[in-house]
Amino acid sequence: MAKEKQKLTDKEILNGIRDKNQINEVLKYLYSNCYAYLETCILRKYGDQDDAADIIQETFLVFIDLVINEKFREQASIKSMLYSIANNLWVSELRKRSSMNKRNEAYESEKDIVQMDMVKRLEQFENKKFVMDIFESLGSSCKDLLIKFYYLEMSMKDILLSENYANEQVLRNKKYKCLQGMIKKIENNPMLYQSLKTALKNG
Amino acid sequence: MDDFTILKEIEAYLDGEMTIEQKTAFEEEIQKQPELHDLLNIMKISREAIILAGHQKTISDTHDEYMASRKSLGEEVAPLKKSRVLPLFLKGIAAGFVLIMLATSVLIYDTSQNFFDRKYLSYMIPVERSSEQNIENLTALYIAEKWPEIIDLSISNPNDSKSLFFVAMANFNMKNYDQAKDKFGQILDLSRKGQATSFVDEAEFYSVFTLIKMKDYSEALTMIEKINSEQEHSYQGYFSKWDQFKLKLLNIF
Repeated sequence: MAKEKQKLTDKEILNGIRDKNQINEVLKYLYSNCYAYLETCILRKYGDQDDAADIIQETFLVFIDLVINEKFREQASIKSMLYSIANNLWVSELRKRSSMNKRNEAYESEKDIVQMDMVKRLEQFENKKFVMDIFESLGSSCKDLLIKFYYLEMSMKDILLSENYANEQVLRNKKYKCLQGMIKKIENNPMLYQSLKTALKNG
Repeated sequence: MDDFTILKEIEAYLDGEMTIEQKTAFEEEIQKQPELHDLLNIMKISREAIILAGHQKTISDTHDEYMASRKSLGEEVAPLKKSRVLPLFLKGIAAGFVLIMLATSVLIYDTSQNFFDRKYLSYMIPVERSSEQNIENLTALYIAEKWPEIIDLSISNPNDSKSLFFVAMANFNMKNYDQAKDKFGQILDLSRKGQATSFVDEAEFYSVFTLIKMKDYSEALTMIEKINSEQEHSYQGYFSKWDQFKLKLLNIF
């Protein structure tokens, strides 16, 4: 995308997020155009720069998840949506801290700017984060293989060229073994398993 | 079937690689076997989580790159500011005064041209895409941005703050700022009488933008002060002291 310095329309940003070849440039654009704004929002609500850095990275991740799963309603501008996500994540973080430490009582009464809809979406995202944690707990060879296949969308042939496997069938079996390991870890975590089942049942 | 075979079947189903017959048979199996249904869902969320983990890495890399460039820019910009501004200041009060006037003029011009666009947030409707068919008429019209139709809708209950809010927003989008202000005002009146609890914060927030469009900066500032004074207000803190200062300048000049 040769429009780094130019203003991108919301449509161009959304298309860029859905396109693996453009997402890096779109992220750079969002960082240079929205980071300072989102950071100010967090700083104004008693956060510091480290808090802002964490919340904004998660904000972009939630936003990408909404876009690629077709859950982003283009009714709102991207900037508004990012603000809503960041604000809700930050309020939720303050609540967590507040429940751990009652010093922050002022935050307990703070209402979410956005509606229950956003709260529901963030709850669903929270479940995905648990599954992401389980993914991170896999061995590096499994993580590399699954990222190459599902995120980078590399073909088995291309992966075979960069990995040390006897043939494509061995590689395929390895992929399923890794997936199976991940699923077993989820099933062996009763709280997460139940939470996922409930969340999936509720759509 | 061994475990790998089941996973392969699930993947084929999720990737749309089954024939119609295979798909029908698989869906029948899902109905019969709740465990298979659960496994399908777990597989789906696992694949989504793997993709997100990839995005997380990309975001993290972009974040580091952005922070590094911001840091290096900050180091370059700061000395320039010192070397240019300080000698000007030392040239005397007159030069300083000219500089302040110039900066104020630029700030006023920038605020009058850009304040609205920088601060305005579109109002979002709290509806999931999947439930679009079931949403009520007024909400559907709002989503479709059919402002004249919303304005023409007779409101059966004049004490319904949600309807008033949508009509106010429709007027705002149609640039009928007087009407928008009036409708927002009706919600606030209802709130004062204890007859409205919803859309009050939103009415106050969008009143600010309506008043700015009407160039009534004084009243906009009063509304901002009210919003910021209420700790539980949904938009508390959205307008900074600096925003208020800029609006005060517009009000004076």
